[in-house]
Amino acid sequence: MILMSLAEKPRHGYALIKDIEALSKGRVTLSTGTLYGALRRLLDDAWIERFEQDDSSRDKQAYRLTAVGRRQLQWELNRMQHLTRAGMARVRGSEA
Amino acid sequence: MVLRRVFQLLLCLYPTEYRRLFAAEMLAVLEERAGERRGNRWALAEIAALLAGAGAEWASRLRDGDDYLSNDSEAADDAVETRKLIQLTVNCMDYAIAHHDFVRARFYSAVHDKLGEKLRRLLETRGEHTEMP
Repeated sequence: MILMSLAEKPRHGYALIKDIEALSKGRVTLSTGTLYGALRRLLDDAWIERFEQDDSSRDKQAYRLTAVGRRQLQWELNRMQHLTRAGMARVRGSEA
Repeated sequence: MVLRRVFQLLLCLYPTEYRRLFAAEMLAVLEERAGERRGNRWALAEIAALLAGAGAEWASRLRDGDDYLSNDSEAADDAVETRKLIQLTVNCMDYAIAHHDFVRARFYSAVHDKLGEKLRRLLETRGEHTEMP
């Protein structure tokens, strides 16, 4: 969900929490500790990067997707789409 | 105010490298969230997540040793090694495409991109440009 949020535009920590809450219609509220643990791992994998925004202070660092992160997100979304299709086909098959 | 002090103390439990990178940011986020939230449940969830996060980061710190959150140590050696790996993935990708194994080719393509990103970052730290094979 972090990658999905960053796919739209770069965001800083608080904006990520709010966007993920909105994306999930309130079902997912990340705590700060959880968010930054995930951000650290995504940075390690080079799926996201930190960068300086003109208006950002040290305590408002922004994050954006890298090319690798975008590709990984696309791959993951394709996988989920494939799973959904397979699941729907089975549900329809069992109803018939 | 008390809550801010509690969060500050909890952030002290994280490894130094992690604190240097994220603590100020995390405290700012916690303060923003404190401004909109009411009640103890939210604060307790944050405290639990910070404790769990500190434990997880120490586990990573112990596992990764000096590589934990290291940016440019031995960057030159890393760049040489990364270039070799990139060339290897290009060869593997060519081989997979030649044999119509597109699933494997896509995998190597993703690895290639990841390594390319790593190389770019390594070279940036040394003020050089990336030339991808």
